[in-house]
Amino acid sequence: MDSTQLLKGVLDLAVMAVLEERDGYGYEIVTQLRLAGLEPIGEASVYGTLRRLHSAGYLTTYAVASDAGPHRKYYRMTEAGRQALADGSKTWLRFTQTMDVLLHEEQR
Amino acid sequence: MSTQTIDRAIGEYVGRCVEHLRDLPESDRSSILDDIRQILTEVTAELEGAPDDLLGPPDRFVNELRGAAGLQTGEPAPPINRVTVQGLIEWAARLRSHRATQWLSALARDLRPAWWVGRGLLLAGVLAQTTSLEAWRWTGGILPLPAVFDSRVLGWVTMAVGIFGSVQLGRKAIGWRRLAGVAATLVAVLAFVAFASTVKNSYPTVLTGDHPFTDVTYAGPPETTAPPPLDIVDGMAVLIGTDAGMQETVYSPDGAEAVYGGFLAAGVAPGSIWVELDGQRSYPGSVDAFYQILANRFR
Repeated sequence: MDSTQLLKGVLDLAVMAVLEERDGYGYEIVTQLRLAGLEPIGEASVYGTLRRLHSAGYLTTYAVASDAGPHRKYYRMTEAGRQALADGSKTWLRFTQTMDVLLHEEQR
Repeated sequence: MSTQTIDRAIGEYVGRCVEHLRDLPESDRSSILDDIRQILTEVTAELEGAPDDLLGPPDRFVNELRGAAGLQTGEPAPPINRVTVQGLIEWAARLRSHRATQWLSALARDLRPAWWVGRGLLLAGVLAQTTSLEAWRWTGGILPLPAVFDSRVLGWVTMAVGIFGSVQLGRKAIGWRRLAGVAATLVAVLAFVAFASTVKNSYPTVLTGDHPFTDVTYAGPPETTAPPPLDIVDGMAVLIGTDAGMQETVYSPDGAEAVYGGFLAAGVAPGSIWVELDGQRSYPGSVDAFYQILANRFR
């Protein structure tokens, strides 16, 4: 299966996981995800996901004035977002445990 | 690049994005365009290069962004991609329930060697049944031993060959072996079905079968000393005997023939053999007369 297919399904969780620890702006989040190993992730996907999570009420935004450059739009997780992340993480772990068992069965 | 050059490049790129957002309502369109401007500002602050090089052509970028934002059709996607993750969970659950099926098919696979042995035995049985009068003998009530051409030794050999051959066909089921295995299975299964359905009606081959009975509606075992099966109607029994004391109760024409033939073989003269039907005894003087009596009775 193409890894980008899998990525789309879990991008919400990935993005929110990054924002759980610390607020961030768009491109910073992209960098973090790529550093974590999600190489093929495109900026458009990340920004689109941020946009969607924001309209769902899981994220809020605020602008930070910067001396050296233009304003940056920062994203912050809301309470609802934290809850959604917790639920999604549980679901994800259950799923990966199931897949682990299945895939190990297949390898036999 | 100077800030002005960058800003101009950004403005131009954003302009080219507009046409890919025309189908969206004004508010969405303008907020997305703001987002794209924001993205380009951040990206060009980190990296060198023209917007086209950094983000790719506007159409692809806008499509990807809209897809991730859930604005392909103008409707927002559900907040978490619960659809995708949930769908994957359900699919995995279905697979798990299929594990019961997996277990069953694994069990079937493990039982196949036992089937190969059984198949070999059945095939040996086909040969035994078609070539011997007394095809099977049950040893200790457990093991069926076939006789081929009435020879137990041949029966043993056939059984060993049949089982070995069947197992070998099963072990390496490719090419001609696979075809042969399937054919063997078919024959064995058909033979089993045929055996099972004729067990009630299987009589020893008629020893003196010049007068075959046709249209006999009765069926039953030829064993003359065994108790009658429960579905035999009273009055269908034939008693055959001699004044010297030998007698047998028979429930079928073939059995009667066999008993009569047995008496003859034991040295009893035909005229000394009586047949008792419905309480009445008669002494058929010949084999033909004997058959006639039975034919009248069993028709």
